[in-house]
Amino acid sequence: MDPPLVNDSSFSPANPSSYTLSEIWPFPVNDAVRSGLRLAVNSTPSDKDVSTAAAAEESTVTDLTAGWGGRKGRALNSEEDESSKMVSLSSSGNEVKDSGDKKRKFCGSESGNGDGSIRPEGETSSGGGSKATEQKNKPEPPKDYIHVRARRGQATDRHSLAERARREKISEKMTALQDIIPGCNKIIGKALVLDEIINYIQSLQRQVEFLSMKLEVVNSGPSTGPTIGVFPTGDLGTLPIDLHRNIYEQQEANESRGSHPEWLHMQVDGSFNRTT
Amino acid sequence: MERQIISKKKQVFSVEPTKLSPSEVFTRKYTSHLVPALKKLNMDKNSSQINQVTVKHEVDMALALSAQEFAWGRFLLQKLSSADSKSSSSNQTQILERSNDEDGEIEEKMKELQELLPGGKEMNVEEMLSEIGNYIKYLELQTSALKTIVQDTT
Repeated sequence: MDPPLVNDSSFSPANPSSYTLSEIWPFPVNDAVRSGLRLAVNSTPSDKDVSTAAAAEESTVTDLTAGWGGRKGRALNSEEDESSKMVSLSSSGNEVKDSGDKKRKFCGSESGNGDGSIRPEGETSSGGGSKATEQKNKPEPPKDYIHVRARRGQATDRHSLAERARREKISEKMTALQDIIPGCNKIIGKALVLDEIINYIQSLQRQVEFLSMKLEVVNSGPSTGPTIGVFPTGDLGTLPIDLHRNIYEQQEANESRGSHPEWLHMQVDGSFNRTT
Repeated sequence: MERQIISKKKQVFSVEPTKLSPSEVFTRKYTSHLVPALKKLNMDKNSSQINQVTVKHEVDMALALSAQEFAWGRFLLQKLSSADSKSSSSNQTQILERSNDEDGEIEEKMKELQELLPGGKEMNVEEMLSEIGNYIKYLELQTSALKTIVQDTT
């Protein structure tokens, strides 16, 4: 589908003897990249394309390396993108447009072709489809070079980075919610979890309504009327305390959280110190 | 009453400083708001009729007052104290646009959630998700507090 990224004509070194990795690739890279570069480099460079672009070629590689080396720091890469020259722009532009989940071929210089302008459009469209979940695996034509695939863990586009960060935050919160809501652990899928959450909230709210209706009945009943009204205002402290005790005991029984057993005692202690 | 006092004193008291977990802080605040309000309502019973809306209003008000640290609490307070006699219908069903896209369904559900949460419509999705977490927790606390109050006074 794509033209092969590296072919014989794509390599036109200015100086055939200068192929040491350290010279070409001054930046620290991971092994995949290094192996990819080295393998591509060690192939027989052909002199077909010895052109004035030779100098540009090396600069291409350097800029590529800058682009790739800076891939670890995402900001660097996007800045590199803007400041790189036109020739290398196309190649690093390819990198940028590809979003993080795609597998890329690491090879020496992709757009070693003189024009090097073909690729960006193709890549842009595929980069634009980054939102789609399918991964575009580039075809691996059997060539003289061994193509090494390195999976990108990070997206390189500013927008997709921001989106990715946002998406991760949202899914974090969803998992946190799953812990709160009983029975949500087994459910997989955002939509179902959200359904559960909605149902749960609705049922809680209905419960509150029901209880408040009940409370109203209790409140206005003749048997309980005097009970509530009897407490003189000075002693109002005792009612909430008893209620608190009951509530806490119930809560403990219901939730069976053993983490704070001491508060109950502390609270009671405090209250009784007050009254005694 | 004294027997209770004696039995309580026999309990083991920890030497740690009083660490109040947020749930009990809330419960205390809640009951301290609600119970006097109910009492007052009861006292006023002779003059005015207690209707359901008033009690619910007090219930919600107590919740809002005890949850001021959350956006939904503040919003609820605003809504309640604006003296609108809106009936708080938590089961509003709106006809939302149905889209068959998977993301669209999720969007729908998020919108529904926003309706449920007081003040949810003005938040963005991330905020709302974190607010919903503690809204649920405090709803649970409120429910158990109400249950106990009802139990105690029957």
